[in-house]
Amino acid sequence: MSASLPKRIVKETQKLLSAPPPGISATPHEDNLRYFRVMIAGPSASAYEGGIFVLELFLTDSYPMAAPKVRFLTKIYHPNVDKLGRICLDILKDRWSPALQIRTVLLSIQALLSAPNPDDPLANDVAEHWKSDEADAIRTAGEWTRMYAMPE
Amino acid sequence: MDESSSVQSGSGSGSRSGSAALEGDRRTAVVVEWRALTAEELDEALAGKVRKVTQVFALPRLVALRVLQRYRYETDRVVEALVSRPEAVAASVGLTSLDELQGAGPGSETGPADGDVVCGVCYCEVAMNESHTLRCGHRFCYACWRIHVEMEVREGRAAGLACMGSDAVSNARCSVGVDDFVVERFVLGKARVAGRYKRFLRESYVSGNPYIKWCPFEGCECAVEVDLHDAAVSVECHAGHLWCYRCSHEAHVPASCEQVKTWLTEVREESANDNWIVVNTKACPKCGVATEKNGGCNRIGCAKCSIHWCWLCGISSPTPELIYSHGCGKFEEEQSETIQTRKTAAAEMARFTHYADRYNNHHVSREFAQKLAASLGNMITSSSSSTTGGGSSEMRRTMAEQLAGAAKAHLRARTALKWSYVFGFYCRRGTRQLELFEFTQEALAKEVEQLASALEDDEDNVEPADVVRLAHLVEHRLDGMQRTVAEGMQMAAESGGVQESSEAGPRKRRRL
Ligand SMILES: [Zn+2]
Ligand SMILES: [Zn+2]
Ligand SMILES: [Zn+2]
Ligand SMILES: [Zn+2]
Ligand SMILES: [Zn+2]
Ligand SMILES: [Zn+2]
Ligand SMILES: [Zn+2]
Repeated sequence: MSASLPKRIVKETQKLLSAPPPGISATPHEDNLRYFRVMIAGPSASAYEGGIFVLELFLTDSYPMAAPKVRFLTKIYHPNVDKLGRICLDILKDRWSPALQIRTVLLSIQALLSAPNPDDPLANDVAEHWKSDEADAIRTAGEWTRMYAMPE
Repeated sequence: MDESSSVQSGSGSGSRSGSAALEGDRRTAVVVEWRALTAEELDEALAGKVRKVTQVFALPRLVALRVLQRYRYETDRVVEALVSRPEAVAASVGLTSLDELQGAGPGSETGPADGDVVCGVCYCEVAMNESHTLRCGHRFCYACWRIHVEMEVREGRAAGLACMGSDAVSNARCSVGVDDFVVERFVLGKARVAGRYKRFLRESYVSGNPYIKWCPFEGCECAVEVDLHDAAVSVECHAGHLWCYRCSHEAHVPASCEQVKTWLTEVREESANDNWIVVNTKACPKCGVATEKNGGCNRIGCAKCSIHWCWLCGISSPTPELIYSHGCGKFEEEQSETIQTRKTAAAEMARFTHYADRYNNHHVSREFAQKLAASLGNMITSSSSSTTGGGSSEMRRTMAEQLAGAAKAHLRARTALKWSYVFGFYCRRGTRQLELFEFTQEALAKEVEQLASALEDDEDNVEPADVVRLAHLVEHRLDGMQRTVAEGMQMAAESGGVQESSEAGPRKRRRL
């Protein structure tokens, strides 16, 4: 598998390990260097503050021509993340550019936690909640964070 | 060209084009010119337009294509706009100036041949002259450009091919379109990629051009161009398909597009009600044997009792002549007189069934006619490729051409005949013109049956001279029928089938 990892992936991995972006860690699986276990700390002043969110990230054979596949493993109450942890983010879909990196993707996800976008929802019921009563939605998101993203 | 014929075609497999008068008053009739286009001809036409724009203004090919798209492929308008208001043209494709349109910018070009650069996608160090950047300055190696372009083309982006870079701050994808270098080297350089790319351009050329439409027949890649947008004219593609440019339905003269629509809805409803069933087998009127109609001809020769009978009305005779000469197409009002006294609805149903039966029969026969025309058309090609014997092969070829020509006339007439029953159904009853129309229709039906019979004869029995004579008769009769229609028919009020003509005011015309 890891026989001939493209130079780009090697370089990106080295950089992620040696100089990770603040609040983010990404570690490749030892058996499959295209599969990363990612942890993102909930941004301060957000409903996710204090939580640690685990995600998985996979680089397909088409990477970097095609975007990485990323998904939340930790349950999260967010209008742009569905029950399966899939993320609605333009750069992961049609706005992907091969010049973007794993780092950019993870930073964008972190930014999405700071600023949910209920107008471009993936989880419709959550988005509805967000639009009808934002304060209450944020309260629920906080409860979920305490329940699922804060190990005792 | 002869105005009165709806389809004029060049000889053999040459270019197909024609002109036709739209229905209505003969003196004010609008003549529409049209021509059939193959995929290659579409590509050439598009390339010609691009060339015209790029020669006047040094625009990259894809920029010229996008501009042409915005201006509905009207080259003159594009050139005029580029001269008088280049900013508006630039804005129409998301750019700001003529400079940007022309691809000028800091990055452009392949750069100095010496030195290495790091590719922004694969992070490899490559020689400067193995990398390329657009005016945005995003630089990538040839290998990455190739992969990117091939993926984009596979996903259906052609004119929209753009840079693979992204903005360092906003992460927004770079929208700068690729230049001619990329197109030539990475798109046109590889046959499979080039093929797809051309296909997508061709498709947007046709879909964005109101003067061109695809042939609606399944699997056909031909198109037809007209000089009058939205004209209800019968056209013929290179594969010999006859269709209406306006409604993209099978050619339906003398019926109007509106009548076709109304009729098809009506037929669908009736068959859903089970009132009208498509019959494929009928019992021989004499011996009762179940007979399947296996040709376009409505004269059936019974294989068992050898009687001849008419598929439509069931009249029978020991000789075929009577079947050819009996009048069968006209709906006899007297015939339904008795029913009339019972109930108008029943009479209406009887009337509808009469027309629907004939429509359906000619519809089935038309399918045979289509196949026959196609197979005889192919025979021309095979006879010209056979190299045996000089003189006799020349003769075979002439004969094949004659038969193919007759088969085409047969198809045209059969198609018109089918729709003439729809037209007739919507005509006001009891007028002089209708009487004349039905007389011609009946004569045409007889002559078409004779031609069908002659064409469907065993290969050894076919008498080309006979076939040519019959085809000639049929074509004259068809012209006659169209003339009758053009001279003005009164439509029944409820038909919704007022003949579409020049009521829409002056429509846009353009040179072919
Ligand atoms: Zn590269
Ligand atoms: Zn490389
Ligand atoms: Zn760029
Ligand atoms: Zn066709
Ligand atoms: Zn039509
Ligand atoms: Zn019989
Ligand atoms: Zn009959």
